[in-house]
Amino acid sequence: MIKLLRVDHRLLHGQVAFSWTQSLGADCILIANDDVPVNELRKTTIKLAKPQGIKLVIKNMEDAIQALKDGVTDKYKLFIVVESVADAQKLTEAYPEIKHVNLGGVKAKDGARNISKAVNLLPEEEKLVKKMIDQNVEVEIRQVPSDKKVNAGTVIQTNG
Amino acid sequence: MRYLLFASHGGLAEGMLDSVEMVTGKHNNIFTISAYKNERDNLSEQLTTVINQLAENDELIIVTDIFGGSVNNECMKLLTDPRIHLIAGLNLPLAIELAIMNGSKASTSQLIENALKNTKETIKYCNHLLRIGVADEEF
Repeated sequence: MIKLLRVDHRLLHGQVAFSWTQSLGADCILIANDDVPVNELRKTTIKLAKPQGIKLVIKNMEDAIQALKDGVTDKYKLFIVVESVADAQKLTEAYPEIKHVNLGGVKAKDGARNISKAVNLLPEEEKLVKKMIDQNVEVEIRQVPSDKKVNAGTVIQTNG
Repeated sequence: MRYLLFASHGGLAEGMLDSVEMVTGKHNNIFTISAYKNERDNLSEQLTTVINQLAENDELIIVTDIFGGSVNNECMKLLTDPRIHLIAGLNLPLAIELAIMNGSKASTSQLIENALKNTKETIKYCNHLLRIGVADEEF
């Protein structure tokens, strides 16, 4: 069962390890990312940051999608973390059972618009968010679970 | 209701709350005392101000910055009050653990024992960890 898909450019860090995992009651974290599996230092650092008593699986995007489709993740209360809106959209498109995406942190970059604290989207990323919403995925913005949920679609419309 | 109080020499306590809230979100049950920042500050009075806000059934977990320091020594005098628990050794993993577990139904002393057990291991020599490595996990 998928508890949440979070977009966070820092992937597994304090807010994710301590606050989200606990509040979701997740027992397994899946990091879906094409760089981490081949970047030893980044991979080891993430593995060391794992909260106690939680399973942590790191896969590239293709293998992550395959694992979801194969059903090997079904027995877990799964919390998926990706680093970009593009990766989130790939997952929701390939695996429509994901109905809820949380935007936690998207780094500021040239051409990106700040739509909320810690969330900065390029025009093409805004399109991807709209695409997810059109596919009936709830896309909300929150850094930590106790923050008030902000609807990403509304923020993009209002500012756009 | 269970309250937390971070108490330190200088600004560590208020900085600790700032960092805890960045990770876990806002809390309305955490006090801080950043002692001795102003000449006129009186630690004993600052502690009394916090304790006077407690109801009879409330509990207060005080976490001070260093065992044997004057802040902790001053807090030791409060331990005749059964509502007060005192921990020395304020650090972020411990502070987060206590803040998160604060809603738990476990007894306060049990909660503190668990938090200490879980967070004592979080002080690490990271160079060494990289040499050891960690195994991959699969579904």
